[in-house]
Amino acid sequence: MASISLKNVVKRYGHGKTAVPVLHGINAEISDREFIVIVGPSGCGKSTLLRMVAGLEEISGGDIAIGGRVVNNLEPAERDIAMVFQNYALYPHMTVFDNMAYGLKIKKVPIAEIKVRVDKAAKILELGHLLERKPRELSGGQRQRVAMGRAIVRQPQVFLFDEPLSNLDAKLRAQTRIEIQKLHRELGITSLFVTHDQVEAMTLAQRMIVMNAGVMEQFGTPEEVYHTPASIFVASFIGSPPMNLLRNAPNSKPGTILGIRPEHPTSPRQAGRCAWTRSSCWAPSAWCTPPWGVTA
Amino acid sequence: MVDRSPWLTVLSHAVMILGVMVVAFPLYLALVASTHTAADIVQAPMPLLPGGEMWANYKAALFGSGKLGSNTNVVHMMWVSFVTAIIITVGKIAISLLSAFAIVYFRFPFKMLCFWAIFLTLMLPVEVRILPTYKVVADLGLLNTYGGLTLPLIASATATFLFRQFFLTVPDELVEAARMDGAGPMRFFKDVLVPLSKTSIAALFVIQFIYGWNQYLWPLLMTTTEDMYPVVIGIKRMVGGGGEASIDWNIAMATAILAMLPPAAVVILMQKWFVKGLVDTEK
Repeated sequence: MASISLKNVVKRYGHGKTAVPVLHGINAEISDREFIVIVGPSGCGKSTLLRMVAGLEEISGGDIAIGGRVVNNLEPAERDIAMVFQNYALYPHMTVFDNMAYGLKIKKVPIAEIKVRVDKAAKILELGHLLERKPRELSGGQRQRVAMGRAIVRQPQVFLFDEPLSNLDAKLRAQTRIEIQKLHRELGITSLFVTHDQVEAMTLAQRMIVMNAGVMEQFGTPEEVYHTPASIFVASFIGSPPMNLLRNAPNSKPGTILGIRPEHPTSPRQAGRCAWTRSSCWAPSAWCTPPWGVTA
Repeated sequence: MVDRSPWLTVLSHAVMILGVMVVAFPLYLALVASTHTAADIVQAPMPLLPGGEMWANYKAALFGSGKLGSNTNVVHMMWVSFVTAIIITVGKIAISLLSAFAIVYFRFPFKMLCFWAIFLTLMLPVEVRILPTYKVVADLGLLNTYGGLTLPLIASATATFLFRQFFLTVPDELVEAARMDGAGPMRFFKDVLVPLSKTSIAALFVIQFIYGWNQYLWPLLMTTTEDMYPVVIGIKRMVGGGGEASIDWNIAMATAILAMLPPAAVVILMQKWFVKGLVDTEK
């Protein structure tokens, strides 16, 4: 198991003057056994960041370390990680067993041990009866589990998930979320999970990274992100319906914006009593979003 | 669509049967001719029903005693044809797979130039470049060898292009998953790409085998000794040498029928493969 540290990670496409910066210096320290969700709108660079950790994208600047070892120039296979892809990327011509065993075969793990490890993973994921099938003979949910199985058998230091649930139906998605949680509790492997779905982010994350336009807007627990958003973007991105943003709220400083969560008291009488407008507020801060001002 | 009427059914069947008869009649004639004695065939109305000489004719064709040379027989010529066709087919597929793999998955200098160079050769069939090719092969001392028969025909833009198009449809995630699993490029090629292109390979095998088997112009120039004649050239020699009267039509027809069998067998055997490949498409 391992910690992950991102130090001023930069990604640019192209060279010289025409280079397009995509990630503008991401800093994050992820401790061992943590489950981190990276969330953001599409195009914000979250998948790019994950793929840089995976070693599938070059790192243009900064350092990525896994377990204290800088992995910038290592091949994906040498980084001791496993990844679950959005479309699962199972080898279509191999059976479920071979799909899971392929990485181990390349590593020249003895056949007997491969069998033990695959059987164990299959048992955890309830794939035991499907081992001889080909991916096309499986349902979407089963394929997803095989993709997870392929990650588990490698016994990596870090799991990387690239929107693994977005091809599942709503019910299965909720169920799989729980399974991923359980799996994480059982195996305790440091995980990075990319999603654009904030429900997934809020329910799965121990801590979450909110990203926008190549910048890390906030890094904190779901509660922190929800109750004390660090920027207007985070405030409006997290929460459905989103936080109300009042530009000229009564009794607030000019040039500041007031944010109110929709579930918080909204009648003028109650609102007038809240902590962020009067010092004599009676409302517990847990359900009353404190003020935060940003010059408009 | 049009309503089904019995007349339409009769008409369409009539047209179909007529078409099949037009196509199949020459084959039937060849088959009939191969079962008569040479004297019977040249009679004014040629017999249209099979005769009783089949065994003798085919034996003569297969093991020699035709007018072509003394020790050359169809068995040997078919062997030459078969070896040539197999070398051409396997060579073409192997080279095309590798070059398409390089073009699709690797970044190297002048990659696009290579691609267009390969693509341009599509426009230059063997017939166009036959003189320079002959010169090269002759200078290399490859006349009357299997190398000379096959090498100039192996490089193939068509197959490279076909595999390139196929490789482009293979999802990138598969490459990435293989990289995560620690598979190097050649390992990925061998374990993932080649098994996935199985059905394309089968289709190409059929096409190229027939292409190699039916080669006429190139072996005609290339081979001057009888032991290197492919069966197509053998037939040509049988019917093209001397006057009309000296041709053993029965033997020539038996040879033609025999020459048809291997390509037909390849089509029939491989058809199952690529039809299966077309039916269960991978997602």
